Parts: sequence; structure tokens; C-alpha cells
Amino acid sequence: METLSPQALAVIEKYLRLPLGCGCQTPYFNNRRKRVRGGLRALVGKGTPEEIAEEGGILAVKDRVSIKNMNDETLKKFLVDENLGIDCSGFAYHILDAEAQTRINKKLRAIIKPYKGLERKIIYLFRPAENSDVTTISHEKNSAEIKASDAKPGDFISILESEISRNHIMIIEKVAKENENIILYYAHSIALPEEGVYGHGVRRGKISFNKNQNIVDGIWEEMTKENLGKTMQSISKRAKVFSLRRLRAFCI
Amino acid sequence: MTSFSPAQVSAVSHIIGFGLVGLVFSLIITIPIYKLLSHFKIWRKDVYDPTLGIEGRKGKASTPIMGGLIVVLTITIITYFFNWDRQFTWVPIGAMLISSVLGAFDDLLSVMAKKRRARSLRQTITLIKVHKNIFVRFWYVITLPWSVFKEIGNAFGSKRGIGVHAYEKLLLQFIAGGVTAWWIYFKLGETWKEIHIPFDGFLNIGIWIIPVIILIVIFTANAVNISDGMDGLAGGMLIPTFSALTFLSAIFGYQELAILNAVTTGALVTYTFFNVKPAKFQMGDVGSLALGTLLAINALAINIMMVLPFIAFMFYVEAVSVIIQVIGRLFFGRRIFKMAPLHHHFELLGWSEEKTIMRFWVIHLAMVLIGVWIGLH
Repeated sequence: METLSPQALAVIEKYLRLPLGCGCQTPYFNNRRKRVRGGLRALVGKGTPEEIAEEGGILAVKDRVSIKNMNDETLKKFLVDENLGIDCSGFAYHILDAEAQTRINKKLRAIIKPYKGLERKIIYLFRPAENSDVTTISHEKNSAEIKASDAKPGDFISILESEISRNHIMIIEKVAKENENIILYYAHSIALPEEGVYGHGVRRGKISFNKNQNIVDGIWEEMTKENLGKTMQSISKRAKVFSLRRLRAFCI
Repeated sequence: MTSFSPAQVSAVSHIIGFGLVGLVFSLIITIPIYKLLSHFKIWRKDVYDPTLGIEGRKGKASTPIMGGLIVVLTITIITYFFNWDRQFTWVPIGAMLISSVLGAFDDLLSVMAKKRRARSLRQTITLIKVHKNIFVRFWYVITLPWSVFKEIGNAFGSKRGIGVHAYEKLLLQFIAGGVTAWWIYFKLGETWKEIHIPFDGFLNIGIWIIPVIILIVIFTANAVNISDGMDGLAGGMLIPTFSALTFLSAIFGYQELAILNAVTTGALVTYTFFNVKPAKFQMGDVGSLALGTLLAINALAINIMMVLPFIAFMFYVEAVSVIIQVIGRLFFGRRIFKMAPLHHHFELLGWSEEKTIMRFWVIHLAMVLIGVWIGLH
């Protein structure tokens, strides 16, 4: 089975168990709701696990609450209430960044080029993670569509204009191939309506499909959340654009 | 070895004597001021101060603030009765009092008042787009530069909507700086129009010295204000700073300023005695803004502008740490320090308050010594 580099896997592990207190799953947070401008990237859903943990620690100090006494459930509630978390593209950015540094010895900020206007390009120089949204990473300039049978760790599934959150991105973590059957193990950050206020966040999942089958027609499973795999599959089916892509820098 | 003349020894003795007078006088007024502050509950409010959540700082809630009044009153009263000099002391005292009143308002508003409205630039821009009255929209457009100034000021403020707004502070400090610049440029004489460059000579930058002076006064006042965040920190660092100013003023022959600095040092000794952990009271903006202003003016009045970064070293480091933190947040979306000013960063790294303060004191003292040495050249 092929996997992401240990460095990229370590980043996923940290998002799954934040280095804060007893550790908990990083919640989903999208700045579209709060519209914070000029803020810390950890507060706009784009921080690394360390930054989110640090900010959580500082907010706990300001709010006079003790992180030490929290279990993973109360810790996650605290993070959600403080609007701390990661959105799907922020999560993908940091995983791909770790992978790019290991694989081609380049930072992702040097690989991804913003496709929008000059103003966005200038802002990107200072804040690459905040300005690498799903459409930017999935843009033809930055990535290319690949066949499902060619999938490798480090590729990503791009879902554009879906009904729940307009765009979504999932990182392929491992790929298992056996005869005609392929299993894509992915990781992503998502909030589905079924998950309520505190249930969302970073998690893993897998898609099992046949070489001759379309990915969206395979079997979708979300780890730790039964039934949500079908929801994800249904979202993917109804999205305007669904594609499996690879960063152009990884296309060697 | 050169021995000092009896006249020189007498002058030094006179200056030190005033330092002792400042110490004793401040000691006498400490208890009534402490009782007054406690009686009117001029206390540090738990809800307004996020740093009180840091381990070991919880006990600081309900500690009286505005303890800096002890120093400010001592300086003002002693100078007014025994050292009032039209050329050298009334402008430093006047500018100090402007800053002190500003600080007092800030302290009192923080303690007593509810949150004040602070409209953000974004809200103003939204109002320009959506307000139903075209004249109001026009008004917001023509006052947009003012809104931008307020936004920039507030970006550096620590407690948005509480107390005096950052931009209001900057405006009043601008007045204090302006008074100082006017005094130095137009009243003190030709010598002060040139900046003394140690080891080199003098630099004349013409009229540009006025904005430079204003900036230095504003920056130094805020630097001392920012450093007043731990028990004994600002007081303990101001003692060597004002001692150095006393020494340099005496050496350069500014007797009145030497006495003013000596009185300040004496009052600071008393203040710091009661301010070390666990503090009986804290300086508050009333003291820190005033002493920062006085520090800048007294240094500029003896033409040691280039030495200021040394004798106010840790204050400037603390102020720069805040600027770096704001730049890091706005431009890069990251914290450069765990918390600014710098002393909170070390506190969050696990240093005890005592360790942080003493290290800061020692580094500051070393830099002050270097500053004095440089100032003599």
C-alpha cells in the first residue's frame, strides 16, 4: 500500500489529535460565517495544528478556563465555541505543504500560483494558506485531473459547487490496489448538517471501487461516523464538478 | 586620579539631597493615596484584563491601580515649590501632566465605565454603502481618513472599546510631543537644534527635528506604558533610567533637570518598594504615560537623543515586540510571540514572574550603563 510521506501523515495525526490538553479532533471552522479580516490564520480556519493548539491555549488563559481539566469532548466544545478549527482547504494546504517539502523539497507556497487578480497575488505572498482555496488548488494552473486508476497518495479529490459547502477538498492519504479493486483512503475536514454543532471536524474515510467503475459509484465510508459515507457520496454525485487531481509539481 | 572640587561635591550632594526628599515625600503620601484608591475601589478589573488568566496572575485582580500618582504628585509638588525654572522644568512638568491626566482618564474609564462604542473601518465602509441618508454617507466618505487613523490606532490598542481609545491617546500624546518640540526647537536655543551624535559631533536636520521629537515622546510614553504589566517591572527599570538621566544632567551642567530626575528616582524607589510582588498597587496609565513622557523630554532636553535607545532599552524592546506582533498578525496571520508585550511571552513560556522581571532589570541595567558611557562621548 502506498502512503503519504511520514511528515504529511504526522500532520494529519496532529489534526486528528491536537497537541493541546488531552488532545481532541480538530473541529471544522470556515471563516465564511465570521468574515474575520487581517486576523491570525488559526482564527480563520487556516492554521497548522500547532497554531490552533497555541491559540486554544491562549484563549483558555484569557477565558480563565483550565485546559488540563478538560476531556476530549469538552475540549472540542471549547474550541468550537471559540471559533477555532480548520476548513477543508486549510487542512489540505498544510498536508500538501508537508508532502511537497518531503517529496520535492519545495514549499507549497512556491508551487501554487493564485489565478485571480494582481491584488490577490500580492496578498498571497504574505498569506499563502489563507488564499489557497479549493478553486485555487484545483485550478488548471496548479493541478491536473488524473484517472482514478492512477491515483496516488498526495492526490486530492476536488468537489466544486456542491450543495452543503460550496467547494470541498479531500486528500488521498493511502492507496491500496488489488487486482481490479482500488481503495482510496482519504482525510478531510468537513461539517455536515447531520453532525450538529460539535460533531464535525477532521477525519478519515475510504472509497472502495472497481477499476472500471466511477469513484462516486464506489463504496464510501467515513471513519468513526457511520452512514456519513453515503452522505459524502451523495454530495459528490450532485456536485457540479467532481475530479481526482494531482498537483502539477507532483506530476513527474 | 582627579579629585572633585568642593563646589562640585556640594552640587552633587544638593542633587542627591533632592532625591532623598523625593523618596521621603513619596513615602509620606503613599499611605493616604493607597487608602484613597482602595476606598474608591480603583481596582484592576478582572473582566477587562485577559492577562489575569495566566497562571500566578489571578491574585492581581482587585489590586489598586493609579499608584503612579505617588510619583507624579511627588515630582510635581517638589518641582513646583523648590525647583521651578521657566527655562528647564515647567515644560517637562507640563507635558508630564498632560500625559498623566490622559492616563488618569484611561484608568478611571477602565475601572468605572462600561464598554465604549468603537466603530470599525469595515462598519464605516458598510455605512457608506447602505446608509439611507445621502448626506450621512457623504460625511462618512469625507471623514474616511479619520476612520482609517482610528483603525490603525486601535490595531495597536490592547483593550478595544474600553477606556480611552488608542487614537484618542495618540492625539493627546501628539499634543504633549508638540509642546516638547516647540520648547526644544524654539525656546531652548541653537544648541538643541542639532542632534548630538556620540563619538562624532552634531547633526543638523533642520525643522525635521520637530516630528522626530514628537515621535520620540509618543513612542517612549507608550513604551513605558506597555512595560507596566508586571509587579515591579516598569518601576524597577525606571530607577536606573532616571538615575542615569540624573547623572548625565549633572555632568552636562543642567542642575534643574538633574534635581528633577533625582526627585523622580527617589519617588520611584518608594513606588517600586510597594510595587514588587505581591504589589500593594500598580502604576496605571496615570504613572506610566507620565513617566514615559518625562523620560523622553528629560533626555531630549540634555540632547542625548541617540542614547535614549540604551537608557530606555527594555521599554523600547517591549514596544517593538508589540509592533512586531501586530505586523505578524496583520500581514502574515501568525503570532510572532506567544503574547505581546514581551514579558507575557516569557510568562507563557513558563518563566516565573520574578525570573522575567529580574532578567529584564539586569539586561536593562547593563544597557543603561552602556548608554551612560556612550552619552559621555
